[in-house]
Amino acid sequence: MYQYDAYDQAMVDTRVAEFRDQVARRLSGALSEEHFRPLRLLNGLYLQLHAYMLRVAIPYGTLTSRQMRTLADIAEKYDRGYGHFTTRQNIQYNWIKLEQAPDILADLAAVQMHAIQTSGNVIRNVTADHFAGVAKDEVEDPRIAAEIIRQWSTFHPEFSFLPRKFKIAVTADTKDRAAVKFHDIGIAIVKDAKGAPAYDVYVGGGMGRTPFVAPLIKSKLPKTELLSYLDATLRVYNRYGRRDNIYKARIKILVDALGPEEFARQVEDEWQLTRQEHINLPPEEEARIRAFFAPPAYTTEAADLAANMPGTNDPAFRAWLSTNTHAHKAAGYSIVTISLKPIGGIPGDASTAEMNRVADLADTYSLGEIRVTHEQNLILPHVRRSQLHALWTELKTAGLAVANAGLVTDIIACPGLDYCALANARSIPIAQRISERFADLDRQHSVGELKIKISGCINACGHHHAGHIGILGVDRKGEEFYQILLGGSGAEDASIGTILGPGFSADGVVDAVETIVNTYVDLRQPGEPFLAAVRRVGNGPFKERLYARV
Amino acid sequence: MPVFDASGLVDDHWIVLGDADPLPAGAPVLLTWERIARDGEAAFAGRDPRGVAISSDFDVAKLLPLLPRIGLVVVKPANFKDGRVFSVGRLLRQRYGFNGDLRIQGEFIPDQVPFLVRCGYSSFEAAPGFDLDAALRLLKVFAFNYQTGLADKNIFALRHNQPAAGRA
Amino acid sequence: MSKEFAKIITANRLQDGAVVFLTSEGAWAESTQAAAVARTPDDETRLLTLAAASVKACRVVDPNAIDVSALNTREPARLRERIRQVGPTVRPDLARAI
Ligand code: SF4
Repeated sequence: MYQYDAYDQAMVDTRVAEFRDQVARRLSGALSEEHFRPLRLLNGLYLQLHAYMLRVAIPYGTLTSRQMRTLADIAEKYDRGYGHFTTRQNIQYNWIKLEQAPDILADLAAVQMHAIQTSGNVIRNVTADHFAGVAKDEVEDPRIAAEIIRQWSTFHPEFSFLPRKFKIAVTADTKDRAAVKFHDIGIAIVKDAKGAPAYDVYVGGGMGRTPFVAPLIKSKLPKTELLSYLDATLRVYNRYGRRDNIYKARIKILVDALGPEEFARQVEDEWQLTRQEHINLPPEEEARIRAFFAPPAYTTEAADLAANMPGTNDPAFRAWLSTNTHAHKAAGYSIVTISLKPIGGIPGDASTAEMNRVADLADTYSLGEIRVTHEQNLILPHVRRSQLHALWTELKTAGLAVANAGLVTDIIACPGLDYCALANARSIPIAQRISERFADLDRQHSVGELKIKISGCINACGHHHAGHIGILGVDRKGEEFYQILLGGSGAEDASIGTILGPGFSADGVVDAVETIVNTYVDLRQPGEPFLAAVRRVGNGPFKERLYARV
Repeated sequence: MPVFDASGLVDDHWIVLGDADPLPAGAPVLLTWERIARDGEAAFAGRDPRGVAISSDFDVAKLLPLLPRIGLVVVKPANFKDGRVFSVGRLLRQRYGFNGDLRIQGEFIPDQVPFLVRCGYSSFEAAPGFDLDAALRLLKVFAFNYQTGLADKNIFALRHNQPAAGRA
Repeated sequence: MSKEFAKIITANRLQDGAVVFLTSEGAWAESTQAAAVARTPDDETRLLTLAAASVKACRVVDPNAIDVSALNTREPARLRERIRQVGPTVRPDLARAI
C-alpha cells in the first residue's frame, strides 16, 4: 500500500491548517456563505437536511485496519456512532458540526487520510477496481495509476474551479468492477501491441439527468504520457465546457455536443503541446509509487492449496462461499466480500463497532488490509483459504456474514430524502422493503445475480441508470413516486436502463420489483442471468405482467 | 480599485483607455482587445508600453504575435467561479512565454490567489471589501506542489533531487 | 386547514448545522413549538427580514419559509420538512423531540 512521505504528509497537514483558517473566517463573518461554500465543498463538507455532512476520501478504495479504526473513532467522537459507505469509495458522516470539521480533518491526516476534493467542481476522489492487485486477470495494479492521478489532481491550480465536478476511475481487468464507462474519464489498462500496459481512455460517461456511456477517446495511450493527456483533456473541458447551465456543464455534454471524434481531435491537438511541457511524471517517480503496490508476502500452507477446506459440509457456509468469495491472484488465497446489506438494513451503513470489528478481522485474516467497493460493501482482499471458515464464523457472530453479494438484496441505495438536501424521495426505505421481501436466502440464490440500484433524485448517486433493475425516486405533487428502469449495467458491457412505464407508489414499487423478478424466473433459459434475459426478451414481457395487473 | 502583488499593495501606473479615447504620449496605457483588433498597428503608436484587457473566454492564441510588445495582460473573470482564468494564465506563461505583468481584475476570492499565482498571475485588482491580509497570508501556506511543469517547488522533482522543470 | 396561510421560518445553524426555527423574537429554536407562525404574506416578509439579519450575523444559513399543515403542532406540510423536523425516518432511534 502507498505510504505518505514527508511531502504528502505536509500537504494534508497544511490543508488542515488552511481549512481551520477558512472555518474561523466563516464563523467570524470575514467569509460569506457564498464564498465559503465552494471552499468547504473542496474539503468534502456539505450542508444536508439535518446537519453538515463530511465526505471522506478512501482513494481507490484501499484502507488499512488502522485507518478503519480511525474512521470508527470519528463516528464515535464527532458523529452518532455510524458512517455511510458511498457509491464512490468514500465514507460519509451525517451529523457533523462545522466548528469540529477541522479537528476531524486533523484526525484523518494523522493516519494519512483526507477529505480533499470529495466534493465541489474539481477532480474528485479517484476510484479503482476494488479487487485491484488481487484480481486474477488484471494487466497491472490500477492503483499505481490511481495514486499518480490522486497526487496530480490534488490542489491542481488550473482545475480547481471547473465547470462542474469531474470523476476519474481506473480498472485493469476485462471484468470492469469500477464502472469506468460511467465516469468523466474512465481508464482501462490494456496491453498494447507489444504486450506492455497502456491506457484506453474513455471520456464523457456519466449518469444524472443525461446519462451517457463514455466513448473511447484515446486508444492505448502510452503509460508515460498519462498526466500530459489528462492535463490536455481537462484543459479542453475547463476552457470550453459550458458554464451557463449547471445541467449542461459536465464534460459528457461537451463530448456529445462536439461529437467524440471532434472532441478527441481537440484533445489530441492540445496533448501534442502539453506532452512537451514537462507535465508527465518522471519515470523514477512512477517507479517509486509502483514499489508501494508490490504484492505482500503471501504465505501458504498445504491446507490452503487443498481442494477441500474446513466447513464445506455446512450449506450456509457454502452459500456464502459461492457469493462472497472470489478467486485470488495468489494460489491458496481468496478475496472475501463483507456484505453491508443485512436483510432490512441500511445499505452501506456501518456502526463504530462494525468498523472496529472489520479492522480486527483484517488484522487476523487479511494482512491488515480492507477495500471499500462502489457497491457499498467491504472486502478483505487476502484471506487464506484454510481460514475462510474461521473468518465466516466470526463474521456471522458480528452479523456481517450475509451471503448476498451480487444478489437481489445486495442493493445500492443513495441516502435519499432521509438525509440529502437535493432528494425528491426516500431511497433507503425502498431498499429495506425489497430486502425484506426477498429475505429468504434460498430464493435469492435461485434468482441469481441481480443488481438493484436506487436513487432518490435524478442526480443518480444510487446509479439507477446502471442497475439491472434501476429505481428512481420522484416527487409527484408532494408524494414519493418511483420509476423503474430495466437493463442497465455498470460493468464492461455498460448500458443505460430504459424506463418501463408509469411509476409506482412506495408500496407499489416493492410489489413491482417482485413481479419483475417472478417474470424473469418464469421466462429465463437454463443458467441465464437476469440481465441476459432482459437483453434477450426486452422490456415487453415485464411491462405486460406489471401493468396488466393494474 | 487597489492593485496588489505577492508582496502587498503596489502603485498602479497603467492608464485605462476607452475604445474612443485618444492615445496619450509618454504613458503606459491599457487597451481593450477590441480596440487593438480594430486599430491594428495604430494601437501601438509611440514607444510606450501597452496593456491589453481580455475576458476569460478569450482565445489567447490570438495574442501570441503581439506578446513581445505587451507589458500587461488583464484578465476578467465572469464571476469568482470562472475557472477559465487559470487556463488563460498557464497558457500565456507556460506555452507562450509571456513575461510581462499578468493581472486578474474583478471577482475572485483570497483563497484563489495561491492558485492564480501558480498559474502565472503576478498582480491582482480586487473588488472593494477584498480581504487582502487573508490573500497574502494564504500565499505562504503551501510550501510544495504536486503538479509538474510549473515553476513552483515540485514534489515529484524534490523527491528525486532534481530541479523543477517548467516555468510560470 | 391546508388552504389557510400558515408558514414558519426554518434554517440551519451555522456553527453545527442543526435544524432551527425562527421565534417571534428573532431567536432560533430547535423545536417547531417555539416557532413564530406567519399568517399573512406580510408576516412572512417580516420574519424573513429577521432571518436575513441572522444570516448577516453569522448565526444561520439558508433560511426558508415553509408551510405548516396544523397550527397547534406546527407540523410541516412537506415530507422533506417533516424529515428535517424529526430526523431520518430510517433511524427512529435518533429521532428528536418536536
Ligand atoms: S441521488 Fe439525489 S437524493 Fe440521492 S444522494 Fe444523490 S443527490 Fe441525494
